Amino acid sequence: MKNSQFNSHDVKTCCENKLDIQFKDGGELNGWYLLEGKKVRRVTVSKGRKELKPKTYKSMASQLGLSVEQFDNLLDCSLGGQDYQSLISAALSPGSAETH
Amino acid sequence: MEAAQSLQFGSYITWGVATVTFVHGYCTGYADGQRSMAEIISEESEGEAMTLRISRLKTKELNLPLDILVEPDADGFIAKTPDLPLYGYGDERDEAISNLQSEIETLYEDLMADDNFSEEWLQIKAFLRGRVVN
Repeated sequence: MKNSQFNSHDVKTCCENKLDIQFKDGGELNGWYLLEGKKVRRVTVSKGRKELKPKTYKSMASQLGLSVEQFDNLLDCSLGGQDYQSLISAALSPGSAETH
Repeated sequence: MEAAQSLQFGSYITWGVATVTFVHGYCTGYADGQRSMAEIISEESEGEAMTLRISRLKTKELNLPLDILVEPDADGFIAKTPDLPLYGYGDERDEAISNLQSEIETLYEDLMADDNFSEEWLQIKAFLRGRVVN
């Protein structure tokens, strides 16, 4: 788990740049990932540049439908937007046991 | 253990703008004059994890309570509910709970805005529609 290498701003920036997620400013930042025009994943990120605690980091990964390792890869650049789209498409395809 | 012990009969925990009182395992506190918000279902002293039940969000009521789990996350706390893919983080337990309440309400508003969601989210929308009182 690479939570100590990133902060909440890094997650926000990565989600915006790689996944085209647009965040809405509320108490926290919330954004939806769209697949084929439908909202399929929703992630919550703290405002500012807050340290990411282990369970919070794991929760963000889970919200995006990723394992912690996949989330690590998303943040450190080895997992791209197209890779993510493929993972989510596979997870949402009929017969997949995975839910949100 | 210290936190669990602090929630015994007649003790207090600050909850956002409210101070709530735990009596015989029930939270009888009030926020801005509103009715009680939560009751303790169980307390796990190991690791200071605690299961609570909330009966209201920040500004909306729930017609059936939601179970939430609050557990330590490094030097803070994280609150989650098994019913929704949400979390609330806070430096203190009450802040995590309050943030989760906000998250649930924000999600509810998001979901009620339109129907452009995957099937899983539409199911969550139906779930929340049945729980949240406008």
